[in-house]
Amino acid sequence: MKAIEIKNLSKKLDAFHIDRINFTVPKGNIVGLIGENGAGKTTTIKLMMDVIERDSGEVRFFGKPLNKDLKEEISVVYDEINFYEKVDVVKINTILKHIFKAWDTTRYFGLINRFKLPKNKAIGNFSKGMKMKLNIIIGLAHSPKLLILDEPTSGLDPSARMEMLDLFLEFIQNEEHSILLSSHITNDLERIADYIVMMHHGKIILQLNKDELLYRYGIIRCSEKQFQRIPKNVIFAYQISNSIYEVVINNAPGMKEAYPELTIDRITIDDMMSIYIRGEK
Amino acid sequence: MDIFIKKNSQLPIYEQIVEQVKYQISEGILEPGSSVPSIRALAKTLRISVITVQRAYDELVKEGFIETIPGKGSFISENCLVFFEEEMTKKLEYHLQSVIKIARQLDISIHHVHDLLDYFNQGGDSDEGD
Repeated sequence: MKAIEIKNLSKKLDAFHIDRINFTVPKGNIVGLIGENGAGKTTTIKLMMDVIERDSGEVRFFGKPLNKDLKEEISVVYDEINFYEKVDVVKINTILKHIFKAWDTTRYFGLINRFKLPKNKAIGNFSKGMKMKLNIIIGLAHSPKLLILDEPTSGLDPSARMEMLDLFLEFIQNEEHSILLSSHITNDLERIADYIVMMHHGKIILQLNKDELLYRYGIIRCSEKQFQRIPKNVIFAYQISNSIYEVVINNAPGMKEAYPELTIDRITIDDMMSIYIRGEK
Repeated sequence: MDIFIKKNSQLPIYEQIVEQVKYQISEGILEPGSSVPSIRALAKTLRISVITVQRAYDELVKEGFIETIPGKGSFISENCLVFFEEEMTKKLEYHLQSVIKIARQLDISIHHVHDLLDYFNQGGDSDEGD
């Protein structure tokens, strides 16, 4: 069963267009949607949730198109807080328990205490990090089965980011729970994501099991002469700087065996994205 | 079960888990029949992906070191030590075969290899020179 299934989702916008996007979020997993700022991650999420009207394509949650009941089971956390600046944490609870059927006050205040957020301070005076934490806590407190987070760790310092990763891993202890998480900070996703979906200029360029990506792909640093000998079908992307070729290949174990003399290094998601974006395909 | 992950190792994380579980079985730290954490719980403890632990467990199940009982969880299998011995025997055979291969390349007689084995077995100088 798939938590999210997206087929040929498209939308023409002024600046760019989302072009026939396909990807899935399997139930019980964390999927990382990565790409540079402006790649179309936020737009994709808004299209999925019918916040922006799509031109064509299909989006299914737990096998069904989005409807009112499903919305109760899905939490979407955007990179901004949508509350009136003068309310505080206690007031938010009072408001939201009337809006969400499954609002869990105990869980809400449990998390507020755990992350040491002040209860009676106007949220307008919260730091960016505190606002983000509050956003995520609100997302979890209405007991969703699916959590969709847009850049949830971008305003947070490293220790706060680690706390959030723990929170996400706690959430998926229940096999019925799934997470779609967009980010340009690939370090976090490299740790906890099960699948990686890479996006660039409104298109999906790659989607893969994270371990496959990290261990099947690799990077060769070599001269032009050596580059000419690399079979074209294993090259994902490459760039040339100071006459050194940096080549992302899609079959590192095979290449190690066939060309033991080549320098083949492990790859990071960052390397892969930046060589794809700035290099040749 | 204590597993420690080296982030910058050449060895993929799932292989590190497999190796450490086998090591702990061979050392008697993990005993036959003892329970191991669920895939999700271990992923959370180690702060890594569920699929990474899943892959490690799949491999351990396939090789017979772990058994999964639906609804009850995963356990170190009763026959884990037999499987460990089998694997080590295979390893030994593999290394002996490479010894013979190298000896042939260097044109060293098998009798000389025997002599070398005896010599090392009686505490002759090893590479580390301890």
